[in-house]
Amino acid sequence: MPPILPELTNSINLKYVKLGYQYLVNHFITLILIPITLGVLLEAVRLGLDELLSLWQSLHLHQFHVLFLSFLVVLLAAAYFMSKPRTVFLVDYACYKPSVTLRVPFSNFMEHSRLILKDNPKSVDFQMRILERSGLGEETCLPPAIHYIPPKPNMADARKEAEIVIFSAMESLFEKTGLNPKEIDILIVNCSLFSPIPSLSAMVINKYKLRNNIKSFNLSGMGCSAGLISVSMARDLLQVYPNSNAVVVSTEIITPNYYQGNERAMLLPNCLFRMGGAAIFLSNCRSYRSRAKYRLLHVVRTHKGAEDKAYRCVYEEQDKEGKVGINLSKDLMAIAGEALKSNITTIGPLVLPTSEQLYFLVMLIGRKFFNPRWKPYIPDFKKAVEHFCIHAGGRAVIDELQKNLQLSAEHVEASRMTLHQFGNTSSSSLWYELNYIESKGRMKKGDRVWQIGFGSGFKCNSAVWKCNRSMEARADDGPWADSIDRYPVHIPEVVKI
Amino acid sequence: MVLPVEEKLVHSIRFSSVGPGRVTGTDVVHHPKPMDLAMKLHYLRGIYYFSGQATRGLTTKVIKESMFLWLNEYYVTCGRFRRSPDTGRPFMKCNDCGVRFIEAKCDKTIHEWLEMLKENCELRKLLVSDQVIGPDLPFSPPLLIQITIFKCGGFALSLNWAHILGDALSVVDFINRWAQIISGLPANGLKQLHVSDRSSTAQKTPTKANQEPVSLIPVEPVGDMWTYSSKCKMGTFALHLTLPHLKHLRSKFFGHVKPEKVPLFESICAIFWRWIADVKEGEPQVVTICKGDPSKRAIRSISNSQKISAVRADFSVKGSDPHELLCLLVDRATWENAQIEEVVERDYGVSDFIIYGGNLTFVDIGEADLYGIELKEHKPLFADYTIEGLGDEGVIVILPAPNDPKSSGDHDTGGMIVTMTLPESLLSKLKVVLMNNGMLQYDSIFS
Repeated sequence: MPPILPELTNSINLKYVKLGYQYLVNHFITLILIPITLGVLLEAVRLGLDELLSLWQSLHLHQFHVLFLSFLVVLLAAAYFMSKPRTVFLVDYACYKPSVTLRVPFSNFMEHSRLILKDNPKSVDFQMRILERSGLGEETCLPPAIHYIPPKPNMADARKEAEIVIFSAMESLFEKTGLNPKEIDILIVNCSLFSPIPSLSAMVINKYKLRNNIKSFNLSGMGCSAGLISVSMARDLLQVYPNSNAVVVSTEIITPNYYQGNERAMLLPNCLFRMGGAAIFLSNCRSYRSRAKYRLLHVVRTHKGAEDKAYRCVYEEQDKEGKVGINLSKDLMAIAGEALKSNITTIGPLVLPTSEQLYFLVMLIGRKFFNPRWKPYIPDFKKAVEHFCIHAGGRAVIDELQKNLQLSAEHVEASRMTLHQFGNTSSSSLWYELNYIESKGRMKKGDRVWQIGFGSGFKCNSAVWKCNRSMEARADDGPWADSIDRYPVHIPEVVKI
Repeated sequence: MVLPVEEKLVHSIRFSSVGPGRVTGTDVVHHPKPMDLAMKLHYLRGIYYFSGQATRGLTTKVIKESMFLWLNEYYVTCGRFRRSPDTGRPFMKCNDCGVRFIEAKCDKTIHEWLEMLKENCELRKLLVSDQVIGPDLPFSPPLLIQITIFKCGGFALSLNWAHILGDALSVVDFINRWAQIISGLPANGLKQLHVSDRSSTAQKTPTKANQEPVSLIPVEPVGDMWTYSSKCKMGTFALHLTLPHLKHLRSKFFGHVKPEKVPLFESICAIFWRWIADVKEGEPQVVTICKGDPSKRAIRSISNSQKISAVRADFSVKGSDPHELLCLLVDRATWENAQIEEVVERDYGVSDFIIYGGNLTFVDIGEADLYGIELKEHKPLFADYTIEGLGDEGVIVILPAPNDPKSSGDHDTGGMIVTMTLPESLLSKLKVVLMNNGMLQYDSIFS
C-alpha cells in the first residue's frame, strides 16, 4: 500500500500542476490585462477628475487634431473589418437516407459473390474475410443495379443512382433550411468516380431550375477527401463574392464502379463502399448569423502526391482481363499516417491551445539540443477540439487515427458507428458522423469539431468548425432516424457470417 | 421436355434477391420440426397469372419494394439451412440472406400463353425456377420467386417453395398476404412470426410408435442435394373438371349414394385410383392422402401441418367399384403424422425420405384460398401448383378452378383442376381412359 500512495499523490499533484500551467498560458493575455487595467483605474481614481481634466488640457489638442485622430481610428477600424476574412457559416446540411429495400446483409453479399465469382473461390474467401473484419453492419446499402447477379451496370443506372442520392439530399436540405433554389449563387458537386456529360452539377441545375448566372463547379477524381476540398473551394469563393449562398453536394456513385474481376486488391472497395451523399448549405450572409449551425474556422489541405508511393497507393487501373477497378496498395495505412502527420503539423498551431504549443516547442527544442532521448511529445488534440469526425474509410483507418491522436473510444464512436450503419460512403461520411454527434445531443454551443478526410492522391484534408448555436438532440429528420436508439453498438473484431 | 425454340419464349432473365427490410437479428435460428424434415426433398411450384388490368402500375421496382415489407413477417423464408455440427440435423439460420427474385419477359400475351399451355404443360417450366436446395446448403435459397412480364402487360408470378418451409395451405396464405401488402393494407411489421413454436427443437417422441408409416418411404441418402429424381420419366397433365363433369361423374359412380356421404376430394381420388389401376401394370394397392388442416395453423405462420394418411386396399382395385374405394378413403384412412415424426426423429432428421410419389399420392389443395389473392381487386386469371421431387408412383393434385368470369349466376362455376404428374407411359394410357369417359372435352377456362 504505502509505495503506491506517493505515486498516486505524485500523479495527482502533477495533474494540478499541468492544469495550472495550461490555464496560465492559455489565458495569458487576460491575466496580464486584468492587473494593468485595475492599476490604471486605481491611479485614475486616485488622481481625481480635476487632475484628469487638467492632464487633458495640457495636451493642447487642437480641434483639427481631434478630428484627424478620430478619422484615423475610424479608418483603421474600417481597414481591419474589410480585410478580415468573411465568416463562412454552415447553415445546415442534409444526408441521404437510403431505403431499406437497398440494404445488403452480409449473407446476401457473400451469396451473390459466390455466384458471381464462381470460378474463383479464393477471391470469394478473401471477400468474406474482409467483410467479417470490416466493421460494417447489416444495414449498409448498395444501389439497385448492383443487386443483380451478376451486376451489369450501365450509364442509365448510374445516372439513376445519382438522381436518387443527390435529389433526395437536396430536397431534405431545402426542407430543413427553407432555402429557395433560386437563391443559390454557388454550387459545387463532388463525385470522384462518375463524371458524365453534362456534369452532375448541371443535373442539379436542371432539376431545380437554378439561376443562369450560378457559379457551378464539378469536382471529379479527387477521392474520398473531396468533400473538404469542396468546402475549401466554397470558402474561397465566399471570400470573393459577398452576401452569397453556396451549396456543396458530396457523394460517390457506386453503380459504374463495381469491380467485376478477380484481383483481390481490387475487390476490397466492393466490400466497403456503400451508397451515401450529403448536401451542405454554406453562406456568408450576416442574416444567417444566428440560425447557422456552425461557422468554419480552418481548412487545411495536405497533398503527398509528390511522393511516388503516395501517388500510387490508391490507383484506378485495368486488371489482366481488362476490368477496371481501384487498386489499394498494402502501404495505405503507413502513407495515411504520414499524410496525417503532415496535416496536423499545419493545423496544430491553428487549433491547439497555446499551452500545448508551448510545451511542444519546449520538448522539441529540448530533444534537438539537450537530450535526444526525450520522447517526442504528441500534442493532445483532445484539448484542441471537442469532437472528431474521422473519415469512415475502414476499420483500419479509424484504428490508426485513434492510435496516432491518442483518442478515446467515445471520440471515435461517431466514425465507427457511421461505418457500421452506412459503410464507407466516401466523401459524405464526415457528414453522417457529424449528424450522429448531433443526434446524440453531444454538440453544444461553442464546441469545435474537427473533420479529417483521406483520399487518393494521397491527400489528407481537415476542416475545423465551431458550433454556433445550441441544438436539440433530434434524429428524426436525418439519416439516423430509425437507428440512433440502437447505437452505440459493440462491433466485434470478427463477425461470424 | 422444353425445346430450345420454346426456351426463347421467355428471355431477358435477371437474378437478384429480396429480403426483409428489418434486420432479423444475429443468431436467430429456426429448427424444422420432424414433419418439415420429412418433406425436405419435395418442392411446391405455384404459378399465378394476372391480367394487364390487375398489374397496371405494378412495376418490378414496386413489387420488389413491397416484398421487403412482406418478408419482415416471414423472415424464415429468407434464411439458409445449415447442419448441426454434432448431429447433422438440418436447421435454419435466419440471416436475412433473402429470397431469390427472377425477372423475365415473354413476347406472347397471357391469353396466347395459356392457350399454348393447354397443348404443352411442360411450358410451365419456363415460368418457374427449378432450382433445389443444395449442393451448398448455406447458399441455397429455399424460395425463388419469378415474375414473367407478358406482352399485354400482365404477368405470371411463380414460387419455387421448398416444402420443408411449409405445406400448400401455408404457401397460399403467404402469397395472399403479399397481395394484401401491395394493395396497401397495413403491413404488420411489428408482429413477429410465432417464434415460440418454431424455435424449440422438437426432439420429443410421439406416443404411438407401434407400426412403421406406409406413406413415408426412405430413400438413398442424398447428402446436401435435397431433391429426389424419379427413376422413370414423368409427365404432367392438367384436367379441368367443370361442375357438369363433376355432376356426371357423381351420378355415374356414386348415383346410389347419399350426396353427403360423397365428399368431393375423396370421390375424385377414388375415381382416379380406379382408372389408374385399370391401366397400370402392378396396380397401386396403397395410396397416400395429404389434406390440409386449416384449424391448426396460426395466422401468419407457415408450417407443415397437413394430415398425411395411407390407405391400403386388400382387394383388387382394377375394375372395382369406386364406391368401395371411397368408403376405404373415408373410413379407413389412418393418419400417420405421429409415426412419420417418430421415424424421422430416430436419427435426428438426418435420413432422407419422400412422401409424395412414394405411393400413388393424392394431394388436396381444394381448401386453400387459392383465388383469395387480389391485385387491384382483380383475381388471377389462373393459378395452379405442382409438386416436384416426386417418387415414381406419381402425384395427383386437386386444386380449385377459377370462377368463370362470364357466369351470371352466383353459384360456384369453377369446379376443380386435377393436375397429375405420372410416369409418361402411364399418363398416355390414362389420357385414353379420360377421353373414353368424356373428360377431355371442356370449355376452355382460359377464353
